[in-house]
Amino acid sequence: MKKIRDFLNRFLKGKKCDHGRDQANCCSHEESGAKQLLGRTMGRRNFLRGAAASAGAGASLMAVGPTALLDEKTRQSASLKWEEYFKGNYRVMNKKERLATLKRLEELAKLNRNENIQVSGAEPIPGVLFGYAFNISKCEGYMDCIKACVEENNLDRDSNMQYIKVFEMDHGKINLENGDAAYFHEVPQDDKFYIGTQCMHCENPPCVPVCPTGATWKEQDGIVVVDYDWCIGCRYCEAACPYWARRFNWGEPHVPAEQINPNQHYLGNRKKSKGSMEKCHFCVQRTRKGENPACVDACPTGARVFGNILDPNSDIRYIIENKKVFRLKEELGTEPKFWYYMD
Amino acid sequence: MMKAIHLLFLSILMAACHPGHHGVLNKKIEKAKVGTSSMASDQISPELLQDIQYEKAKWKTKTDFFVQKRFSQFKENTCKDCHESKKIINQVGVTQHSEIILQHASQEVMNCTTCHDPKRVWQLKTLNHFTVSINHPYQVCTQCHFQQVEDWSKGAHGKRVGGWHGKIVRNNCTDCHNPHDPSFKPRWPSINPNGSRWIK
Repeated sequence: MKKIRDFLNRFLKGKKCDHGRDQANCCSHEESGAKQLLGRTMGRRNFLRGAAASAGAGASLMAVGPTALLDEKTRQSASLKWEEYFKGNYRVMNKKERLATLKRLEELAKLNRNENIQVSGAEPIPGVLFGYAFNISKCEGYMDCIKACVEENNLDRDSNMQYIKVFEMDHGKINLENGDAAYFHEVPQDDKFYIGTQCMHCENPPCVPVCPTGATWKEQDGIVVVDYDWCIGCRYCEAACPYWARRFNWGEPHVPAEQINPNQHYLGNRKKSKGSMEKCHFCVQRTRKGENPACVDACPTGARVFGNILDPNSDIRYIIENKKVFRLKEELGTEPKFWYYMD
Repeated sequence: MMKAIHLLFLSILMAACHPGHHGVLNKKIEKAKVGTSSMASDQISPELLQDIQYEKAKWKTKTDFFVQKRFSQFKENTCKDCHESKKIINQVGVTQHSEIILQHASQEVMNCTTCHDPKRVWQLKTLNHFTVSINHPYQVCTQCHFQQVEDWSKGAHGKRVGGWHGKIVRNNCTDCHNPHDPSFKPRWPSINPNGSRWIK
């Protein structure tokens, strides 16, 4: 095999490049498709991408017709989409690849939907492990948190997608299966209390190992995230989650253009597509900048507390150490980082 | 050498026998105790507290915290205009400020001058007639609601403004509670921005 390659290289009169290697073997040069294919050992992904650059362009032109030649926007969007289609899993991308995909997503949003968005790739802050506390004595069931979450995270309006659920519960009972999350009357009712649930961001998340494509994982700061483009929509994670925290996009998510939140994060509130899984991500686009999640800021009663559980002076640590706290389904060993407390 | 390999093997076996993740969090927290404040990051937005006026709380806690200024929300002079220059001194039952209906404890327990200093109405006072700045109303509230103020000073009650990071700036009691009518009122829950209920 090597002999044949050497022969072909010589045949193609491969020049030496700046790195002293054959030009055909050096990755920093723009090469013809033929040379690329001959000179380099290639993964399936790269091969397809390379083939597309030459063959794909021609084929799509034939399919669309000659007018496509003139439409710069369509051409640009198609080439960006192609690149997007063959990108890797965000978790294993290097910095350069990550920046490239963030830029592509911004450009695609501008081209296709005329949205001026900023997609961040902010990484976890070292020495930070996020935790959340929810005061069941203070929650009055106003559901302002849900509204703030939907608006912040560009959730599908048509299917009433909501990451947070607030259950109305009878006093003295704590089985959420008997709670009512569909209440619609004046709150709070005298004989009820209210308890909010969302993704618990388990330290040992059962949704992660079941993912067949590695599209969901726990970040260094404890946030369990989803690479929406790597998700194949098998919903194994939805089945594995003991807290019913994951949501599936049965249709193409729809958000009115004027309600789009342009401050987005790759692993956070960017646009999802039909057939992808999503869930609460502790507003990664906000919290990695030092802000509180939208639900915390929206809560009118101060029932929600967010912070760094590794910081011994943080509010959340005070609550965990000094208040009466419990977590849901603690016996499963999932170690949720979502504590409930009461006054 | 053999011993080391045996030990290694044994430890792998033991780890395999105990797949439980109990105490993972505890271990992380214990470990972090060694070097705690290593979390400065250039990712943190410096503008979070830009629009907020705050001053240091007059309260003893392990960690210092700040409270939102109330005089940034209304003007001290507004009170002084009448109550100082025109020498109007508060009397209970006078028709001034008739928009305020006191729904806080009963008439036997509280009236205007329980919290307001009748001679300097832009200031508050304690039951023992010590003056309290209107920027620090928790010093008045704590006379009855000591448990709530204790919780608030440590973050278990009330809200923090400007995010989870950096300087701790808390809402004052009066930022969430109307001091003349402090309870939260019943109302209908929020709905989807598209106008429909969440779950039907």
